[in-house]
Amino acid sequence: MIRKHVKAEVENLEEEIQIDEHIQRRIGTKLRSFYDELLNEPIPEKFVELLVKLEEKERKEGQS
Amino acid sequence: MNDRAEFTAGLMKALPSLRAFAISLSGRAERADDLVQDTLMRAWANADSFQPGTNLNAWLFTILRNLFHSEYRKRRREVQDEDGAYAARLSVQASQDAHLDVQDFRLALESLPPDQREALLLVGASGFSYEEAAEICQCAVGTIKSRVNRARTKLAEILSIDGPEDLSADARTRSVTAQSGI
Repeated sequence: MIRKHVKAEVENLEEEIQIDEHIQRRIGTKLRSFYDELLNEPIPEKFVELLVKLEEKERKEGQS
Repeated sequence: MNDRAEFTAGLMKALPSLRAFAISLSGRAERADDLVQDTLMRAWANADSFQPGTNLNAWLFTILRNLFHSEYRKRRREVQDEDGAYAARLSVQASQDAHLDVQDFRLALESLPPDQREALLLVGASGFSYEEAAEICQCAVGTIKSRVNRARTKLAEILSIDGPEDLSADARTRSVTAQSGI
């Protein structure tokens, strides 16, 4: 029943009321400033270390 | 440079956007870092199935969102309760101080159903097209469009955005106007 409801909603997409352009723009701005903060956070060392380790392992296995 | 070195360089380059997506999708930095780590491990183990020259970021985002959803399904009830708590907190949160904007936005984003949040993040923040987002989420383009639309409508509602200006912007304008004596 829920699935049917969702499907109907998707099919009615064209008729859905489009959100006001101003509102859309303001939400977009807020979303990007929120996201930019995350993008600019320093990357934890452990990820870089993990990749370096994986690559070293691969190289050693390739040589043997 | 061999394929593997190029692949590793691609993973390194993708780290900031993968992590930003993981944090905003899961709402928790700790869990997000586990997600990123699992994504890197899985990507590495399946490197052979990645076709060089295709979109590496889209491939990585697909792995991450699949990991997120399989974990999410396991703890669905718990998360729904948390969502309810967020919604309750938001409804009493009348203050719209400018410096709290990002925090408010984060909470509002977290209160969205995961499929809507994910669609909005992919299209509105991560720079994917509707078609790419549909591929990442393994659904129809129309479904992505509908989810993005519903996510925006819901955010506008929660954040009381109903026109070109909001309360905090008004307040800022007023204080600037007062200071400059206009």
